[in-house]
Amino acid sequence: MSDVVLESQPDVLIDHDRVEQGDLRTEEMLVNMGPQHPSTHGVLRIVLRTDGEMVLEAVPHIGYLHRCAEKIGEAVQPYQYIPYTDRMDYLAGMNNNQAFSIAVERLAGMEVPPRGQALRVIFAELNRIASHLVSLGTYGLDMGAFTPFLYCFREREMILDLFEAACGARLTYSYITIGGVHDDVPDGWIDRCREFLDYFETKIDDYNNLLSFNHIFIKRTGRVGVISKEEAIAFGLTGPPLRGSGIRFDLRKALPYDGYEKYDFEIPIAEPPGTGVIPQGVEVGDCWSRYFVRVLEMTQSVRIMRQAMDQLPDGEFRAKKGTTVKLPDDEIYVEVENPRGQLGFYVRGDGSAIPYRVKARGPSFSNLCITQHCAKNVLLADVPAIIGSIDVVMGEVDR
Amino acid sequence: MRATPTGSFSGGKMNQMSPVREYFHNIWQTVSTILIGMRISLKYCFAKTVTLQYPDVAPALQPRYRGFHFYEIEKCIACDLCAKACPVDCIYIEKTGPRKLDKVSGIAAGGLMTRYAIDYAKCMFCALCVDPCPTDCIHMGNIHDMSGFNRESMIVEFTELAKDGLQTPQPLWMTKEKLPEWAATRKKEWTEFANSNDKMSHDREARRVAMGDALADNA
Ligand code: SF4
Ligand code: SF4
Repeated sequence: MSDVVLESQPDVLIDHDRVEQGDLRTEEMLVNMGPQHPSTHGVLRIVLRTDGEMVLEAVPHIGYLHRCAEKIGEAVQPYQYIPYTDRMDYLAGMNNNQAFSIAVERLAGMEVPPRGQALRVIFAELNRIASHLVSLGTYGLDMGAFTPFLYCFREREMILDLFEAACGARLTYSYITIGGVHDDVPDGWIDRCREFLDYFETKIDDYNNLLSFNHIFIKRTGRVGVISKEEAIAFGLTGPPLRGSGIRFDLRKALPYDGYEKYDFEIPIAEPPGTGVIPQGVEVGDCWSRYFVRVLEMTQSVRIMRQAMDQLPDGEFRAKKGTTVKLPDDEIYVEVENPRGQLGFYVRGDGSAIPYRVKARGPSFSNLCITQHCAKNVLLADVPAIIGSIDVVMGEVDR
Repeated sequence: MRATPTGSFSGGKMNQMSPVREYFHNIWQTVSTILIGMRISLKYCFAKTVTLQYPDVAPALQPRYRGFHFYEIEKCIACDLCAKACPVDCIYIEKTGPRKLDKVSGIAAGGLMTRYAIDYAKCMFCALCVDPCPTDCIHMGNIHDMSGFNRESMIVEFTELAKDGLQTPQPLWMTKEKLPEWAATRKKEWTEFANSNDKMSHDREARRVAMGDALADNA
């Protein structure tokens, strides 16, 4: 702990009301939460300055999972870098592959065949569902509800089986690659996927009844860690935390890529209590809203996938010149919508096949920075609620 | 002034309730929503279990599963393309001279393969080595459960395996005389996988004789 120097803020510590009433001042204490803590979702260390049950300040410390992912990008060819992007946000490998592939394709001026694009959309959305399922399940776990976690993982396993059938891996897919997708889907895969979607849609109600509308859960997450619209924009939040603050912004609609403009879907945002199914006791921008945006997004993903499968064109799934591509002496920055927010890749070419510079903008990293702001003067038990609702993946924060 | 905890009690409609009513309302809400959840759990109490009792029950792997490699040494022309494609440089190839594929027999001849090894401590099963191979002699297999006691033991020498007529490393349990039931099933699956892939040549004895003896002579 000796490396952490916190400047003292006597104003925060002295509760004038209580002093006037003759109450005694209590000592503040520094508590380390993590790096090995079940509710920090990886190796996140948060230093809490506490006063009894109150957390006066929560400072996230990162870097425990740093693997030089960006530097490696400058040593290997883009198609070889795809497996590394899997390992950044390991819960959404497909979306990461897609982001990097799009960046390289746009830089090299490559066209992705229509079937490749549609397959990419299907897999990206399927991965979004899988990632949100982990997020919902573990968030319930943080709040002390074990059952939803098991149900969420049951469905996630089915998605992983579908992924395994298509690409052979269950976590680090490397399926979406430069120029399209690595393989065509096997025979009967689309039907299996349709079957799964039919099954899955009925399960969303289960999650809602088990967790979303559970009174204890609402009490634990409603009106906790409220982020206003202005704050969300000021801190550069993206993805569900941004939409949970009531801002309708999604790159799939704002700057469509891979043919998202062809599909009809909505962007769910947090609504004030009383509209639709939103219960009392929550408010826009709190932990519950961020959580619920994810539930709503899953239904939209199902909708997009259905359309993509209905319209799935025949033909090539990968551009001919797929593997080794010459990158022109130029630069590009592309952002796509990852389950956690906007994942951006900056690629700078220098005329050879190996990029001169690769830089990633991780949504978890940017979203995590709001912790310090919104976990201020909260109860100790609210800290896991706030961190869990932002849904960070440490692999991508540290890269 | 210290702010009150943001996660404090009640809100919305409940603000207008008297504290006593609010207290009982909270209890009622909690109990009723928990009961809704319990009903869902109860429904699954009588459903089929989805948990797989691994390792007593082996997981059903998909045909495209990316496990430990299958490598056909007799087709390999030692062109190094797989080693170059590997992002982590974990394929080691040594040869005594250039090799060429014989069109008729489908067996590479020329120099000898003295070493073809993959360091599985580094390999990330990305299958990038499979794509560029001109003779289609390296494939992803269906073995996923292997371990080593040190780093050296994680380097699989495929040339050594070929002397025994094998194309892929065998987990320890597979080499045992008496196999438990689950292992027997896995072993059958493994053999079937090796025999089902029509891209692979299946004459193991020929491989052993052609490669193993040649290697032994060379040594
Ligand atoms: S690419 Fe194929 S033929 Fe060439 S060295 Fe590798 S395994 Fe052998
Ligand atoms: S699977 Fe990937 S990491 Fe493993 S040997 Fe092949 S190319 Fe290298």
